[in-house]
Amino acid sequence: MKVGVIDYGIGNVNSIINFLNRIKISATPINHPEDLEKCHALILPGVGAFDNATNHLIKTGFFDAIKDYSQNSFNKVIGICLGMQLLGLGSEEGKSKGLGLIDMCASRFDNKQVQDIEIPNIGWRETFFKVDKLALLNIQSVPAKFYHVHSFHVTGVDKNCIISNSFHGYEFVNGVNKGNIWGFQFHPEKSHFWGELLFYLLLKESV
Amino acid sequence: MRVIPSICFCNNQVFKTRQFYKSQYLGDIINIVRLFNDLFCDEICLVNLDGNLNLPLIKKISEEASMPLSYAGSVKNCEDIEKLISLGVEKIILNSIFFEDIDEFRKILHTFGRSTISFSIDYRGDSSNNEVFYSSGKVATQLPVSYVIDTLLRENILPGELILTSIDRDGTFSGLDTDMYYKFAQKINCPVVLNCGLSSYAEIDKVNSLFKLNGIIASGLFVYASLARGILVNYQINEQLHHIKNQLTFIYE
Repeated sequence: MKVGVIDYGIGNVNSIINFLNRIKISATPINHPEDLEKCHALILPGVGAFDNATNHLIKTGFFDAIKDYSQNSFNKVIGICLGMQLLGLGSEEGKSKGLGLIDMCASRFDNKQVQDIEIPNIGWRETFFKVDKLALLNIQSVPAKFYHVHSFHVTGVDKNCIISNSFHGYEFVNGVNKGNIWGFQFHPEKSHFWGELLFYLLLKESV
Repeated sequence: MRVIPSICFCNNQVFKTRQFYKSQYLGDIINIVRLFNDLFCDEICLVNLDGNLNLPLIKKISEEASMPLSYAGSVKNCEDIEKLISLGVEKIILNSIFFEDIDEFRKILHTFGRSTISFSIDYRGDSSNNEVFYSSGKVATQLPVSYVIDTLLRENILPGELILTSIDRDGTFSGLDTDMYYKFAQKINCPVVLNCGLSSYAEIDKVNSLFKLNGIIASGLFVYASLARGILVNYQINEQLHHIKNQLTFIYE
């Protein structure tokens, strides 16, 4: 077992595993916190509301297990969509606390800042990466595009942790990294070969 | 703007519908999903005509798709949605549940968040005189589209995406109902998608340049070679993407 996808009842576990297997990265669902130690990397997916997800994480015992797992700097933790927001301290969407692995909070798209902004942000958005590990995705002639579907985005992130931005009414952070912790607001597993390449660049040493 | 082929299926068979009635068998669903995937589709809209969720089939479809999947049909409650999401569906399109059990509709929005939930308003008529239907167009509500939209706003239960589905235009290639979009888009600040009637690739470009539409859902244009209705799965070609993919995938293949 190499890459574990946390199955806590919230998230598209099946599609992430299939996507990784397609690019020859061995991935498997993780249903019990004790199985985390068998993985070199874990992916925390998430779809839906913030409090509902944290409740599921606590109920299944993953909340503390992920925190412990992330202490080992050789273990990679990747949060996707709501999973990225869960890596932070909390969200305007709910009252629960996040995992607190990166100092950031999820805020609603601000339609006071830009009048006619549509919420949620749904669609394919161009993304430029500021980190060497993912630099291969920055092809000048065809910007990398990733599929987004979200009403909240992270704010208050230390600028050294921001690895990518995108635009929806205004610029927002859609990628973060701090040591072994990575987060992406978009869905790489739904973004055709851009997502394949991103996962491969991140996880190739875990293959 | 997303350009989204819709796939209406019963068991593992895909059908083209005309005004919501099955009109022609198109082929095996897994093959068709695979073809759209290879054509770098923006998203796929699955419409289940089965009368039950058919979860094993959804699982198989999701295994083929490296693109977003939205799903409509036979969704009754939060448990159904949880199962569909765990199998790889990103967005659930609701319809009947709004009219049959508005409390469950509210509960679903609260549990899964707006961005997971789309709502399709299926109507007959035009922007000035129309009636909303549900249950695959079988049940008439005697309500106009404006009443349904006002209810969403008044009750504060706006979904993440509103799909305006013209039953009359389904399978007719008569053009998208842009008047309907124009009438209601200003009232709501969620993404609006027009469904049914798309006539040509030229219409996609025209609509994209004239309106701030978030997406188009259609089927006929993407499954027929021409108006003579010979079956050929197709999608707008993106030469650059194919070229880049060929250059890059050698890395991990």
